[in-house]
Amino acid sequence: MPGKLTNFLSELAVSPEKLASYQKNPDAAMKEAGLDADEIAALKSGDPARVHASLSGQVAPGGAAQPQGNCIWAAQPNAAANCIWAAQPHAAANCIWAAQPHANCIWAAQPQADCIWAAQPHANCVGAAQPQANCIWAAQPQADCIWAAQPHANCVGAAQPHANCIWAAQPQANCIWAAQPQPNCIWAAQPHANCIWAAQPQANCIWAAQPQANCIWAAQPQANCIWAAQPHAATLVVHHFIHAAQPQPSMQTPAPPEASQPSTQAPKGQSTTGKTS
Amino acid sequence: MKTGSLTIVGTGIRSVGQLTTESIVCLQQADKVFYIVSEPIAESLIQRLNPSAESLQAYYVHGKPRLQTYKDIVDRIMESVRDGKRTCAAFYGHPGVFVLPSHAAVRQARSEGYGARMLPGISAEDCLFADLGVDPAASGCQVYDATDFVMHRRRLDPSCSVILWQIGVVGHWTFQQTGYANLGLPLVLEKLSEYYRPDHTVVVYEAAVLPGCEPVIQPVLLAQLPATPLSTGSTLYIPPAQPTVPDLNMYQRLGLPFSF
Repeated sequence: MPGKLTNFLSELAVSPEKLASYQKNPDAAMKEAGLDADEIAALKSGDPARVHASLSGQVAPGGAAQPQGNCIWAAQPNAAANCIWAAQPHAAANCIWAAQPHANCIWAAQPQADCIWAAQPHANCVGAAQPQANCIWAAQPQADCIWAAQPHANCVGAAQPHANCIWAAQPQANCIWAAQPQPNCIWAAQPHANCIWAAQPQANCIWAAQPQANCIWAAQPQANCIWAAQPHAATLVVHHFIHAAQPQPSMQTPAPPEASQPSTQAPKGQSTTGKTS
Repeated sequence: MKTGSLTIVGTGIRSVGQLTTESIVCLQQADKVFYIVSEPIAESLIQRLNPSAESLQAYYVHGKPRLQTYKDIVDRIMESVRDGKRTCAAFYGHPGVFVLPSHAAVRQARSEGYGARMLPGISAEDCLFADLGVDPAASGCQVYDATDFVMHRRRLDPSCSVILWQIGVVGHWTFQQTGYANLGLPLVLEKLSEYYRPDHTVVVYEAAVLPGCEPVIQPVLLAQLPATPLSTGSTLYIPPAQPTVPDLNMYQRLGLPFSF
């Protein structure tokens, strides 16, 4: 009963004695308060969405086939309307599911632990089939987006990809993806680690198929630009330049980009992602 | 002094453990209590402490300008004060930090001759300092609302800490029930790029609200921020990117040794 958990916690907030007792022996305090197993499990999970769901009396949507322990399901799924939820979310805590999925969304069949899914995916989105652990997915993908089939760990996905974008099939770890790619962009199939991709590529751009590690790509390439198919490592591809199809290893841009331009620095170190509430 | 009065209290970011004894007493002894809180525990405890408690949440309506909401809240609180009631209004966090109607209500009450005061609470900034191990005295600290930072010609000092609040709702002036597109975030990055390299590590932070839960502490490169999930409660902490430059002349004039 959710009210019991809320009452228990609100008593802790106003009673130093009860809070001390809880901090000293949480299990005994929760048992003494008469909390049931689900409430105790929620409180011990350390998962904000799960605790909040328990406080609010929300339960997993009926469509869930086999949710494992500690997974958190949507807080406000659309009224049953054709939402299909993951069939076999992994056990282990820290799976966070969309808070407000739209109708007709299809979610991954086997998401790994620690995945964070879109907060507000649009209708008709198709999620990845087998995302790796620690992946972060788009916060607000547009309709009809196709997402990477096998993104590596620690990839950061676009925040607002446009409709009809096709994403890399096998991005390397630590790649940073574009925040707002235009429609009809085709992205590299196998980008190397530590590449930085354009934040706002124009429509109809064709990107390199196999960029080397540590390449820096232009932030805002113009429409209809063709980029090198196999740029060498450490080659700097600068805003507005059009390079040959196969630049030489020694090829460098003549001057650094202007300070007012977007990022031209390769990232140092890895991105680390934590839980979100 | 007129008979009605107003006391503004804060419930802390995490009400279990952050509600002060003084605030509890004020909530218990008030003739009328109003509240805006962010989680069900705080709502429950306020209602238990004082059966007169009335939520002000209903004034937040999808698409309604926030300023109108704040005005409506002040008007409702002042109705009670003018009725001669000892009125207590509770807001989550620190009631005077990022809470326009609390300050407005205190000013209004005082201007009409009523006693009015605000008690401090634990804000998200307090939680940030504790969770990230940041001492604002160590290198200084600049604090802005992210939208304010974009809208005005603010100047940053990259040798001190910078905190940008509400990084997940940049440029939104109406309440949105279903979330925010946060389309103003690129403008924040554009302005930050004047001071920081894209590979400068920043922290997306969100204080823990519920008991037993950890805060969100997500270090990311500045360039990664557009692809990082942000919520309405997300705060951006930017650590110093440059060493502090001592002013040797001032050291000398203060009579201080260069290192002490």
